[in-house]
Amino acid sequence: MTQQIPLPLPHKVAMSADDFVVTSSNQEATMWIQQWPQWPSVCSVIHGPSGSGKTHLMHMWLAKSHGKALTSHDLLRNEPGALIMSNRNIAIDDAQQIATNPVAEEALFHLYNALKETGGSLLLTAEKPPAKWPVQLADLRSRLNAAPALGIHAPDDELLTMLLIKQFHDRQIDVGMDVVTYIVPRIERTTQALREVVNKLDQAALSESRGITIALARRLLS
Amino acid sequence: MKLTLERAALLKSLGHVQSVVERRNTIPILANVLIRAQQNAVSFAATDMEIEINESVDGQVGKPGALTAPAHTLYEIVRKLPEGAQVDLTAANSNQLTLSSGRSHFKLGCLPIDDFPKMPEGDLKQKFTLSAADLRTLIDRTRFAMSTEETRYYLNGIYLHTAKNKNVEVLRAVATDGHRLARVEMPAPRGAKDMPGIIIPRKTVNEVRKLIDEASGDIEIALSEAKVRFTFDGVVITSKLIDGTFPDYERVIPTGNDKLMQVDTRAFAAAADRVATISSEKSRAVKLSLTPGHMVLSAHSPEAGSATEELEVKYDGALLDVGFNARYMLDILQQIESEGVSFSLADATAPAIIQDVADASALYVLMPMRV
Amino acid sequence: MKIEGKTAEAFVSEVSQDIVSHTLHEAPESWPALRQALREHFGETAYRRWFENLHASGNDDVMTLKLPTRFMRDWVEAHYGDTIRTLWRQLIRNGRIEFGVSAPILKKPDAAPALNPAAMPGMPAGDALAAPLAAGECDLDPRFTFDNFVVGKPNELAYAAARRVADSDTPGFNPLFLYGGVGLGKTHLMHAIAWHIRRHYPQRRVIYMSAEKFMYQFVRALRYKDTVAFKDQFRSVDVLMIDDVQFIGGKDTTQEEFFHTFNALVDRNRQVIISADKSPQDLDRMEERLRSRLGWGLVADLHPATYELRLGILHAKAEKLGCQVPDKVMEFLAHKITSNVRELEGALNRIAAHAQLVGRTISLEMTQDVLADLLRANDRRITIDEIQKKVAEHYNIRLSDMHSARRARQVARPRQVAMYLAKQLTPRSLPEIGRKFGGRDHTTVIHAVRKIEELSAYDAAFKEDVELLRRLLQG
Repeated sequence: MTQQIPLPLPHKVAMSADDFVVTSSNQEATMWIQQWPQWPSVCSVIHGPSGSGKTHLMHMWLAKSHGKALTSHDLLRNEPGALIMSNRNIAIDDAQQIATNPVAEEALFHLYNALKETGGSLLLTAEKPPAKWPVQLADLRSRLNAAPALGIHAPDDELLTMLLIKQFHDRQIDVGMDVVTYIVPRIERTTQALREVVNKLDQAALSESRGITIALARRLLS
Repeated sequence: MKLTLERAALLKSLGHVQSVVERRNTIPILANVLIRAQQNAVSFAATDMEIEINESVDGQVGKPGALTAPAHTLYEIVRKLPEGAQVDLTAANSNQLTLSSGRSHFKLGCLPIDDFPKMPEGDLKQKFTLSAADLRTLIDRTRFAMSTEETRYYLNGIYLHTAKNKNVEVLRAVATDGHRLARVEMPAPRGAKDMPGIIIPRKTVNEVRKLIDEASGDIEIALSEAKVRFTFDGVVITSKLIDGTFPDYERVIPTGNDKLMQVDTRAFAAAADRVATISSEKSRAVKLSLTPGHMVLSAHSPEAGSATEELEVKYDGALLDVGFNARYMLDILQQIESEGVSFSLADATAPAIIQDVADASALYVLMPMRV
Repeated sequence: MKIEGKTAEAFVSEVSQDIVSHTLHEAPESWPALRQALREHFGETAYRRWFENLHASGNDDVMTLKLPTRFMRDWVEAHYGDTIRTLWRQLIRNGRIEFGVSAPILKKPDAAPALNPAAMPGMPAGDALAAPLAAGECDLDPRFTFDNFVVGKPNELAYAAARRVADSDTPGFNPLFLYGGVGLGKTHLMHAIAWHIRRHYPQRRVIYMSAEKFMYQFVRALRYKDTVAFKDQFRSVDVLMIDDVQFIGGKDTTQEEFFHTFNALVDRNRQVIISADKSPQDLDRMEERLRSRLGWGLVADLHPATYELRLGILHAKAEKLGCQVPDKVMEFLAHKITSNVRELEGALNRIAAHAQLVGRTISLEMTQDVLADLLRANDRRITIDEIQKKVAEHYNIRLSDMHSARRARQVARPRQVAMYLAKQLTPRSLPEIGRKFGGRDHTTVIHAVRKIEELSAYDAAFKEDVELLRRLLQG
C-alpha cells in the first residue's frame, strides 16, 4: 500500500485567557490563578496529568503578573538574585524535574527564599503534587509541601468536548459537531489520548487530502 | 440606457467578469453583471461576495444609464454573434435589456441595480507595483501547490508576504497542500516593506492569472489585512483574503539534506511520466533508486504490471530508494526552465528539496510516499 | 499593598464591581425571546452546550453576544451564526448581531467566612511590597514574633534562650546556636529576636541574613573586588544572625570569610546567632575549627512538635487568620501532619486560603480534598477489575454477574454502579468499559452513567452508598 507522507506543518496553540475552557475539572486551579495577587504564600503549585492545561494556566498567570517563565536549566545557570533581578514573579513549568538533582533543588530553594524576601510569587506546575516529588533537600521539601497545591482533575465530558474543539481550532481544521460528538464517548478520557486522536485524524486527513468525517474517525478509532 | 460596442471588446469584458460569477447562485443578483454607461465609457462589474471585478471600456453611449443582466446568458449570446458585429444594448427602463446585433434580437430580464452588492471600499494602505512578468512568476511557481481540500481553508491560497533573505528584503509567495510546498521570492518592490502577510484565495489567484497574459504594463497591488486589490489597465479585481494563519512553513524546509542529485530536467520529466503510466491512477507512485552516477525509476502495480527506466545522474551519495508522487514531481519540473534540476535528499521519509540549478529564487519541498 | 499602581482595596472593589456589572447589566429587550427561539430551534442539548452561557449586551438594533472563550465564539459564529442571525431578524427586522468574548465569571459555590487579609501570611500590611528592598537590609517576616511563637516542651529551651539574647545588651553566651529539623521554628525565633530588638532597643544594629545570601554577597564582592565594603557592613553590627549555616558546607572561601567575620564579632563582644539543621559537630563539610567555634556558646535544639503542641499551634494560627475552623478539622490536622510546623501551618494556610479564594466552607471532607496530595499515601491507578470486585462484594453478588447477561434488578443495578464508577475513576474509554462488562456496547455504559446520576439526584441514601464505594476504592 502506497501512502503519501504529509509535511509536518506546525500549528500555533492558543494560550491566552480567552482560549481557556473552565469546567468543574479545572475550576479551582483557574480561580486560584485569577485570584492572584491574593495568594497566601510565595509559592503555589498546579498539578495534573500531561495535557490538562497546566501550561496554559501558567501562561495566563504570566500575562496577568507580568512574570517570567524559567526552565530548570535557567535555575542551574544563574544565581537567584540575578534570576529575579528583572522580575519578581516567576513560573517554572514541569518543576518536578528539579527533584533529585541536588544543584537544582538548592537553586529552587534559594529562589524561593529570594522571592519571599522581595514579595514575589512563584508558580510551579507538575504532573504530581510536590508531596509526591522525590525532593532530597529537606528545607525545600517542607516549603513545597506547605505550598498550596491545586489539582486539575480528570477531564469531564464537557471539558473533553471543548478541548477537542479547541484542538481542531488550533489546527485551523473545520470539523462538524457530529464528528466531535462521535469521538468523545469513544476515546480514553485523558487529554493525552485526546491530543493523540486529533493528531492521528489530522495526519490521516492531510495524507489522504480529505476532510475529517465520522467515517474517517470510525476507521482510525477502531 | 443606450450604447453600442464592438462584439470583440464586449466579449472580452464579459469574459472577464462572467468568470467571477458562480454557476450556481442562491442569491439571484449574484448571477448578474452590472452595466453602467456614462458618456463615452462603459463599465462592467460582477461579484460573488468574495471577489469583485470591475472593467471599463470605451464605447459609444447614446444615453447614459445602468442595469443588471444575467452574466452567463449575456456572455453566451455575445460569444455566438459573428465576428466584427456591432452590438447595441438598450433599455427603456431597468427591468429589461434589449440586445440587438444585425438581425438578432434578445430581450433579457433585469434585477434592480440597488440590490447589486457593493464590497465596502476599506482602506488599502499598502501599495506597490509589479511587472506582469513578475506577478506571473509568483503565481505560476506556486499555485499548483495550493490545497483544494476545503476543511483546511488556510491552505486554499497563496501566502504573500515579505521576508529577509541574507539581508535582502524579499517578496515571497508560498503555497502548500501538505504534501508539497512551493516558495518563490524576488526583491521586494518599493512599498511592500512591512506589509502584512496575506493569504490570497485560490479563485482570486486564478482570476488574476487569467488577466496577466493580456496585461501590458505594470500591475498595481493594494492591500490591507482583510483585502487585496489588483489594478490592470482597465480591470480592477478586489478580493477578500483568507482569514487564517498560514503555518510557519520555514520549519518544514530542511537544512541538513546531504544527498545531492542533479539530473537533466526534460529527460527526467519524460522518464518519470513514462514510468508513471504503470502506477495506479490514485497514488501515481514512482520509486527512485539512486546509486553513484545512476538513477533507476520504477513503478509497480498489481493490475498493470511494472516499469523501470535508467538515467545518468550526478550523484555520489549513499544508496537510496525513495518514492514520490509522479504528478507532484511533474508539476514541479514544469516550473524548472533550465536544463538541470537538483534534488537534496535525506532519507526515504524526509522532505526533499527540489530546485532549478540555474535559478535559486524558487524552492520546492516534496514529501516522499511510503512505497 | 500596591498592584500596578492601585491599592489592593481599590483592586478588589473594582473586581467585585466588575462582577456586579456583569450580572446586573441590562440585556437587550428581545433577548429572552431569542433565547426561547434558540432553545426551540436547536433542542435542549445543543442549547445547554452553546447558548446557556451566552451573554447578551447592547440593544435590539445591535446586540453583542459574548461567549466564554475565543474558539467558542469562532465555533458558534461559524456553525450557528447564520441561523442565530436569521432567528434574530425574524424578531427584529434589520437587527444586527455581533459576537465577542467575555472573561469567564466564576461563581463561588457557597459563602466562605471572610478572612482578615492583614493576617494572611505572605501579605505584609501597608506598603512593604511597594518598594524593593535595599540590598543587604534584612527583611523580616511580620508574623514571626515572640507573641506568635507557640511554646511547648519540644521548643521551650530554644525559646527561653532566644528571649534572653533579645533582652541582654552583652552576650551571655556567644554564639547562640539553634538547630533542629526543617520547619520547626528556627527562622521564626531569629526573626522574633530581631523584631524584639528593633522595637525595644532601636539603637542596636541587627543584621539577619541567610547563609546563602552571605555567600552570594561575598562572591559578588570578590568578583567586583569590593571585599572591603562587604566586611565593613558587619563591623558596626551589634547582633549578627546567620540562618541555615549548613549551606556554606563545602564552600571553602566562604567558610574562611565567615570564620573571620565570626571571630571579629565575638572578639568585640557582639552577639552572634546561628541556626542550622544539625548540631555543630554534625555539620557536613564544615571546617573543624569553625565547627568547634560554633559550639562554644549555647547550643539549643528544637524537637519535632508533639500532638499537644501541634494542636496549640493550629489554634493560635487559626485565631491569627481570623477564620473559623471546626475542632474536628484541627484535631485531624494535628493528628495527620506530623512532619514539621511549617507543613502544619502550611496545611492550615492552604485550607483557609482555599476557603477564601475558591469559596468552600471548611469541613473535614473539604480538608481531605484540599490536602489530598499530602494525606493520600499513593495515588495508584484504580482498575476496572478492582471496581467490579469491590462493588460485587458490597452488594453481595457474584463477580461473574458483572459480565453476565442477567438483567434482574439485583444484579443489573450494581453492574450500573460499577460502570458509573469505572467512568468516574478510570480514564478508560467507554467502549473499553463496555468490553470489560461482558462485551457491552458503549451506549449501555452511557445509559448506566445517566441512570446512576438520576438516582443519585433524588435518592440521598443511594447517593451516599455510591460515595462510600468511591471512597473505599480511592483508599
